[in-house]
Amino acid sequence: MADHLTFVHAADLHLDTPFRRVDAAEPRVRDACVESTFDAFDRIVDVCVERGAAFLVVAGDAFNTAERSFRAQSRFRAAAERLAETGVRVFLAGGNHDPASGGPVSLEMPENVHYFASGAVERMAFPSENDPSCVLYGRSFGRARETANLAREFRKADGDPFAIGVLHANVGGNQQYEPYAPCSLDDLLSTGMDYWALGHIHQHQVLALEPPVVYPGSPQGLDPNEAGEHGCVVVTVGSAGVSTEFVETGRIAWDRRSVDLADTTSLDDVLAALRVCCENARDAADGRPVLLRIDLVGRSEAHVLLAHGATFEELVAEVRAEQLAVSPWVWLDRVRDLTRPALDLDRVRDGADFAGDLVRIADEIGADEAAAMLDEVLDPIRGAARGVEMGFDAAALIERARDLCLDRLLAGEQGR
Amino acid sequence: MRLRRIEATRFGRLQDATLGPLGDGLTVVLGPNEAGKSSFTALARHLLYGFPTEKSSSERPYLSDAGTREGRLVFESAEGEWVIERTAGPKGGPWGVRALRGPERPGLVDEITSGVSEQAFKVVFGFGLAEMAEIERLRGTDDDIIARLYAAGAGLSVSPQEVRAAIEGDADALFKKGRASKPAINALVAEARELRSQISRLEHDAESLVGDRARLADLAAELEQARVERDETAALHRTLLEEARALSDLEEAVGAADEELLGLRREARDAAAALEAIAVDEAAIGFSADIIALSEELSAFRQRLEAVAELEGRVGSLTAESAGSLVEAGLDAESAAAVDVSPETRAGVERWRDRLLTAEQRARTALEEREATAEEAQVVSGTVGGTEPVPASASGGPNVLAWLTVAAGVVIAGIGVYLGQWIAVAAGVLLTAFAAMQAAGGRAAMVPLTADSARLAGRADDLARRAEQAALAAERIERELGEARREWTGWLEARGLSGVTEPAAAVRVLDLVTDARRRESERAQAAERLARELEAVVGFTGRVAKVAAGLGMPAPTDAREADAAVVRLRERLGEARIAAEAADRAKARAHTAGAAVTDAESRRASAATRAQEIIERLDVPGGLAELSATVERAAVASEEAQERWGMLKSKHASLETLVGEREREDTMGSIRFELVSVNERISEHAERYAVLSLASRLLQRAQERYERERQPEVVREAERIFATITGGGYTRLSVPLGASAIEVFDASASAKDTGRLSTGTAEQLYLALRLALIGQLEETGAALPVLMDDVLANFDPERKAGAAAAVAELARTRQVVVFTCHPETAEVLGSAEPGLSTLSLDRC
Repeated sequence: MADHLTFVHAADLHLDTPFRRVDAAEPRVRDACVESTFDAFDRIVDVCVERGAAFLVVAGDAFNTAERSFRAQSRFRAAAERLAETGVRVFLAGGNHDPASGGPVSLEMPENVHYFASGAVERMAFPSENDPSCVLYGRSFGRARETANLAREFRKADGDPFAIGVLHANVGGNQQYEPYAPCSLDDLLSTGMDYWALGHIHQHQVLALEPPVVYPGSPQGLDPNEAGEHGCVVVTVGSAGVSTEFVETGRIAWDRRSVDLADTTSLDDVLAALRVCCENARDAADGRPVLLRIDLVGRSEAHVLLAHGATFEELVAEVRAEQLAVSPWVWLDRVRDLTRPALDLDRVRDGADFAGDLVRIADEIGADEAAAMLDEVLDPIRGAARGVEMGFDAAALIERARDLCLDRLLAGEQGR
Repeated sequence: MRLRRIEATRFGRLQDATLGPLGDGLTVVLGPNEAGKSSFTALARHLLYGFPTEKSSSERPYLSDAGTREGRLVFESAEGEWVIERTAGPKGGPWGVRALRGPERPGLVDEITSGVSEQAFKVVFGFGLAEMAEIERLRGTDDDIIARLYAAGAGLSVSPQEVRAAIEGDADALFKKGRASKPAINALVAEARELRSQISRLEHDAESLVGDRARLADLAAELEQARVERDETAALHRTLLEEARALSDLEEAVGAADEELLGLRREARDAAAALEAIAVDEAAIGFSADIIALSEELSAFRQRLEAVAELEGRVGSLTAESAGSLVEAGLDAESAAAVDVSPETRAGVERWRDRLLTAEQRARTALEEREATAEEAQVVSGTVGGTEPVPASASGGPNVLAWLTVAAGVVIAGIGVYLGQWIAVAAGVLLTAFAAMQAAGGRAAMVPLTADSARLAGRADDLARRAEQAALAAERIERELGEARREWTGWLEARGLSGVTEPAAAVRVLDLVTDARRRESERAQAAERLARELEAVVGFTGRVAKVAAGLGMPAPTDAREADAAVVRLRERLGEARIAAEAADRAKARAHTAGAAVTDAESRRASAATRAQEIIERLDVPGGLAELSATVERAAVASEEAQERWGMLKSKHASLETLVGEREREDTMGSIRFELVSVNERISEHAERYAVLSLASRLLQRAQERYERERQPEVVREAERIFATITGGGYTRLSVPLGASAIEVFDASASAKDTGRLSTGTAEQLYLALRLALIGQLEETGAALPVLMDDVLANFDPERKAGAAAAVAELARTRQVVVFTCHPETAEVLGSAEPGLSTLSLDRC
């Protein structure tokens, strides 16, 4: 056990990687988002300096090499140079986004940066082979779609001091992430490592405590599904054992909320509810800007008012402008009107009239038929807009389509 | 509620015309052409929906020559009676509802027209032959009357067809297949395509940057090699150039040394010749110290000569002055030497002068006393015996003084003559003359006497005594004076002043003797100094003479020649010195030239040696010419290396800048983010598009089901009415909601569209549709009357009867007003509905 050692464990920096599933037309928001991965990494560097870390471990996906961003590498190099000034070394393992085969686009890094090899697990003694206080075992991905269980290649050597395993891997088959370098927790624990510095999962997770098996998560949430805290882990090794501390580094917070408009009857009510929702999101973000998604839900008399597309969009635009003017800003990334008309659907369904027919027809559409209908509708768009995420819930869209028809048929809507 | 009256205040040809009372069911209005049947039909509609303006409507405006169009509708129900009034004006014209009976119903118009648009009223409720075909023409459009009315009948506020069309319109605004650019998704897809294109270019740039970086590395190595070559060739060029310059300088130095040697040697010869030509007066140089000393003393010598002359004059003058003083004092040198001129003597003379003056004063006083007494006594005696002038002074004192003064004047004049001082002579003469006049004048003044006989006699005696006493006193004093004078004379003699009687004279003699002694002293001093000067002059002259003799020059015979001799000596010395200096210069010049020759010879030898070394070291036996050619070649090589390095440097710098800019490229992140935004927008729009499209499909399915399962009620009713009118000629209709065509089927199931029907049959079909629709509307437009303007005109009697039966049937549930100019139509309707109301109109 090292007498005293502090290092910082980070992963999934995804430098210069654009956010996913966000629509930020406002330049200020866009610029902040573009800079956020860099800002978060700068914060990690600050943490290294402030905590007197001996080294920084980045467990994969520092870059998205497929995006050929020199800027990302340039900024990483600048950060590494800054760390070099205070004697902090950097150990990098490549992940599925920055595998060894990712391409030749790479800048020369300062001497304090070390890439783990991709062909086999590489052992690095720190600070030197002659007098190591710890050793790091690391392995980079050779290719993006690495499906081998790389954890089994790790083994702490006899006589090693404190040993750290550095690997980008999907431990336990997390379904939300690609199954790259799949392994089990037992695979990791059986290696004899004293600390596992993992990467790949963007949410901070501690899979085990003895020894610590840790995902630090990404330093910055990159899409609406990555709300919550993002940062790095400060690891302190001492005679008392190993302690870990999660440090928040995210510069922009993601948030998604639902606003129930059941009790609203006017657009003013809707406006007020949106404002309250924004303020709640701002309060929860702890001083950071927020990318906020709101779903308006509930059976509401305001549903008919919102059904006017222009009115709804004007309302959202007004709140968006208001919230952007406040510091820290809240950007309404998306506001969906999922409200339902304020009518007794069962009663309509029971009616022997056109509306009743329409409700019953919607009810009769099964999941497969709904999906087929949706595909039929969307396929032309998918053909034209390849790569655009359109994984909609067909059944939910059928319901919204039904409600739209009822809105217009029953609520005096003239179709304009 | 039923319409009771239609009142035309002003409307077309109608003026203050009323149609009514209208019956609850069927009312037939019989009137000839131009009786106003169409006008009442139109007026009823305009009073409910507003008057059209002349410009805004394509239909006939029914303007009135009597003024603004105006009219009223009177409705009646069990609860009351109300009038709807309207006057033509903007936006249909102002209108109002007024209760004629019962409660106010301000919303009456909306109640009546609810669910029935003006177009629907015009086509379905208040129509003539002109509107008969409209019911089909407008199908499939926004004014699809059947659809609207059907929707109303189905409990919907809008037509499903209209809703579907609107939804599809919304969907089309979002996306259209093909190359449409306006729909939002199409536009976004195009934008995304452009962004991807930009990203692709940037990625291509990034990939090409890898090659650029490799080229940059190669270029850097090449640049370094070129730099080394450039530096080496430049260094070689510089070295050769320096060697060439050195060789050139050395060769120039040899040539210059040769030329210099020529000059220097000539100079040495010239200097030697010049030295030989110079004769230096060594003798004069040898006496240079003496001559310089004499020259330096010459000025003092000249002053000394002047001093000698002056001293000689002064000695002579002092000698004469001293003698003059003694002569004036009347003393010879010996007597003068015996005179005691001490201060004590002068003090003694002063004392003696006071004593003598006192004695003389006493003597004069006594004499004057005696004479005054005698004179007074004589006067008194004269008075007693007559007067007798008495001299003013009998003392004789003033005359003595006057005579002494004369004597002094004579002495002064004499001294003046002796010294040649004419002022002293004149002063002495004047003094003498003045004193003589005083002596003579003293005798002229006389004092007159007076007498008193008695008193004067006594007085005369007294005066005589006193005169005697005075005479005695005067004699005594005269003796004392004489003794004093003798004593004075003795005192003077004791002091060498024999011959002097008066103290003043004694003082004068003392002064003169003193002066004479002083001058003698001065003369002696001057003589002594003169002697010294003369001695110096003689000494100087002797030295001059000695030097002159030494140099073979004429020696001065006296002091006056010494000056000129010194000048000559000095001139000779000057010339000698000039010659000596010239000789020195010539000697130095010769020496310098000799040294310079040696130096130049040394330098030349050194330069020649070094030049030879360069030639041998660089192996250029051709010397400078060969070396210059080598330098030229080295220069060309250096320039070429420099040029190559510059070209590579520029290329490297450009590539380095490019690589640097690309490394710092921050556009890609923004563009990627923008693409994400656009894709997200596409996704959102696609979701909305999906909802709209799915809604359209739901509506389509519902319509199909409705037409299949529910619409036949309307169609069947229309079929029934149409069959009734046509007497079974046509048995079935097809009126799909989403289609524009209406098809009829005859008894043989042959289908015909309306275009293939006769006018009458088509109008019967349209009437059947209207009657069926209105019959299905139930509460929609329940209070609206159905106004038919001679719509049965083209029917044959059989079908007219059938139509009349259908109209009569409708009139049982709805108020129906049939306008006709054909009495037989009225009769047919009367046959169909015996309880009908009949109204007549006259031609307007």
